This record gives sequence, C-alpha cells and structure tokens, in this order.
Amino acid sequence: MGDRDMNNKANGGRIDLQRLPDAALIRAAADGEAGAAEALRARGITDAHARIAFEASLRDAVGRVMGHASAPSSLRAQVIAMMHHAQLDDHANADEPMRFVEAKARHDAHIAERDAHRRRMRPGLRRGIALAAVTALGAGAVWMGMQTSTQTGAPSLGANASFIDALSFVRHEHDDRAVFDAQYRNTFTVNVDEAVGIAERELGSMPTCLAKAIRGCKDSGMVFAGLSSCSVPGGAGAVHVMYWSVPDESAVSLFIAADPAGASATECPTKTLKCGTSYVCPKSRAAGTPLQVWRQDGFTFYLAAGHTEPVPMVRKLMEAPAREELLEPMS
Amino acid sequence: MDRATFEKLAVEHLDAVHRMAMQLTKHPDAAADLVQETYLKALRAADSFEERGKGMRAWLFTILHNTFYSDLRKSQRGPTAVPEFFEASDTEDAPDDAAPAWDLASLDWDHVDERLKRAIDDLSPEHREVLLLWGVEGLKYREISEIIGVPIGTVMSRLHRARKILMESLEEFAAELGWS
Repeated sequence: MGDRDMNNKANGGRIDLQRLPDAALIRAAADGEAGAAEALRARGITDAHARIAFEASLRDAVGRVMGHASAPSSLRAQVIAMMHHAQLDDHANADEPMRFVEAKARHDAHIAERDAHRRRMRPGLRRGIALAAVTALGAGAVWMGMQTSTQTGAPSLGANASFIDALSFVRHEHDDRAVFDAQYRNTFTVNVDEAVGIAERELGSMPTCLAKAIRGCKDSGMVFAGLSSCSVPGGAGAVHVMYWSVPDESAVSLFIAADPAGASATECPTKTLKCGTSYVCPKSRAAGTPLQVWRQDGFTFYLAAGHTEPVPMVRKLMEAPAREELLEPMS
Repeated sequence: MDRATFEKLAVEHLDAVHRMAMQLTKHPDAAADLVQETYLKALRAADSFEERGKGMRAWLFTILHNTFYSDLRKSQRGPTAVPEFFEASDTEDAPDDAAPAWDLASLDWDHVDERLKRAIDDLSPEHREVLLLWGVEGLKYREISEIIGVPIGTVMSRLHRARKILMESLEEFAAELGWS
C-alpha cells in the first residue's frame, strides 16, 4: 500500500492536499474537493484559473458524452415486473444468473390445492360469496342487463346469476392480484413456456392471439406479468393473464374462459354475446376501472384494469373486436 | 422504508445504473443482465438499505460494481485481468502535467464529443467506471472510493490516467485542426 493510501486511512479518507502535485491539486480544485481551491491559491500557480476552467470543461464534455444513454424501455419494464414478483427466498443458486421465474413445483402444488378447495365449495356458496363481494365493492362493476339485448332480440343476461358471478369474479380477482402480493407470487408463473403449457391445458387449445400476447407484448409497452389457471363462473377451463403497463405503471388482467361444449345459453350466458362486439361496463368506465367482455373463437375474454390508459394496448394485443357496445345496469 | 417506497426510489435510478452497467460491460445484453442482477440483489437486501447510510444511487452502484467484478473474477478464475481492482495499491503519484500547449479558450467543445467518445470507449472498464461516476454522476472522490472499494488515492490515480488519455486525444485533435 502506498504512502498516500496510508495517509488516506490515517486521515479518515481525507486528501492530503499539501502533498498533491500541482496538476492533481488543480483537478481537485476543479472538482470542488474541499479545501483544494484554498490550497491552490496558497501555492500561487500562475495559470491555475485557465487550467481549472479547462478541467471543468472537460468534465462537462465527459458528462455530455457519457450521460445521454437511458435504460431501454424493455429493461425498465423487466425491472419493474421483477420488482413485483421477485423471489426473495434464498433458494436461488448464487452461481446462476438470477431470474424472476417461479418455482414450478410450488406453483403446481398451489394450483392443485386451490382446485381441490374449489371442488369442495358448493356452487351456491360460491355465487353467494361473489354477490357479497359485489355488494362490498359498491356494485360498481355490476351490470344486470344488456341494453342491446332488448333492441336486437338477443337473450337478456339480466337475471343470469352465472354472468353476474363471472363479472364480479373478474373484478374481485383483478383487485386481489393487482397488489402482487405473496399469493400472487406463489400462484402465477412468468415463465413463458410454462404459461403456454398451463393455457393449453386449461383452455383445451391455445387462442392464437394469446400466444402472441405473451411472447410479444413488450413492443406495446406491456410486460407479461404472469399467468395462472382460474375458475371463471360459467366457463369451462380458464386462465388469468396479468400484464404490467409500463407507461402508467398499473396492472391489467385478462381472463380467458373456454366456452363449455354443449352448454345451453342459460348455463353459459356469454354464449349470447355477439362475436365481433366488445361489451363495456358503463359504470366501471365512468369510475375509471374498465371492465370489458367479448367472445371470439369459442373463448370469452374479460378485461379488467385499474386505469383506462392501458386498455387500448391490451385490446390491440388481443385483437379485441373494434365495435363496442355499452352494457346497462338493470334498474 | 416500506417496500413500495423502496421500489419507487430504486427504479428512479435505473438510467444511472444502466449507464454504469453499459460502461463496464460495453454490451447491451450483458448490461441488461447486470442491471437485473443488481436490482434483484438490492431487493433481497432491501431491509438493510437504510442502515447503510448511503443514498440509494450510491448503494445500487456499489452492488453493481461488486457484482460485475465478482462475475469477472469467477469467469477469469484469477485476479490478473483487473489488477487495480485486486491490488488497491495502484496509487503512484501522478506526474505533474504541464498545461496544454494550445489555447484552451479556443477549443470548440461542441466538436470534440465524437473524439472524446472514442477515447472513452478505449479506456479500461475501471477507468471508464471512475470517469462516469465523476463526470456524469458528479460524485466526490470519497463517494467514488466508497462505491468501488478503493482508497481515494486510487480514485485520483484512475481519474488522472483517464483524463490524461482524453487530453492526449484532444491534443491530437487540436493538432489536426492546427491549433498547436
């Protein structure tokens, strides 16, 4: 260790200005290091002022040349998403590059446990819980009928408890998972291949738009934040896909439910929704909490978000029908 | 500090952390990996952040620096590739330079950026790192020394070398323009 370093430590890291050569003292003064300017004046270097100005200009130039780059938006999105579901456990091998991928075994165990719990729960009880949740949420996400149904002759959804169940489930589930808590981390997978596997298993086949929306959502300012199986009332298998909207830093949920084969319109009320139309809940839209439903290719899509901003991005990502109709609450 | 506040504060420094990662790795993919690893480590150590007494930016820089050189050491299985990092005694006195021969006031800084950029790119990672912390982040010698874990004298030595190389590059540029 050199003498100066010994001196640094002895002085608590301070610079020994008296021992600095002129050039180093000039630079220290230009850099605003404490006491350097005074020491420089005491030394009486004739061209000190010009050299300090040059050093300051050089520093400005270095800042200009090196300081422009900002982090790519894709990296920003990855870091933000990672923040929301980082595994804080120390199970990761320190020698491996650390990624935010859920442990598959934990995920499967959780899914199995939850499915078993849902099988044990009676349908009537589930509906009751859902309706209670709707009431607790101020009924903002409930809409009891479809205005267009009476105009077009389509079957009314108004009295269909299963449809109410589905809508309240979607809203409730989104609100619960959007906080990205421990249960979210234990339930959702961000591993793309694993997510695709779960979707194929739950839905029977993979909606083409979903595969694209999982793998290629970064370009649209969205980060794929995870996928989990779920049980949307009235549907067959279903998945819950979560995105993180980078521009407005909010969560967006997309629920996809496969239409049950052979089910009647009463059993599966969303079968009465017209394909090629997106149905928007007016109350939720006014409250800034969008909730939309549309049907496509044998699947029903439910979109729930905390803000209106990311909705168009997800709709575009999922190739949602451009035509929109309002659902009206039943008076 | 609660988790949400910690995350918000950490993300605010993402640009600076990414800049440093780019200067160390000089490769976008490697820089992205380094940044992610840095943030993951920061998350894991979030509870101890306030006790460290540094600002968030300096703390993230320290994690990134240690991660980069730790990975480098593992990959190279020896300290010889980055001697200054492993031998913090590289603090020989800087020779006392004379003032540049050309007229400082006449230098058109707007036209030297490209030349400076090339000169900076040619520096070693540890010199680029100190230059970045000094020139872009505006840190004091002491702060830099704490981040990279070397004595202040070493920081000054590296800065001296880096500036000297940039000066030489500018001298060449000045000569080409007939200023010397």
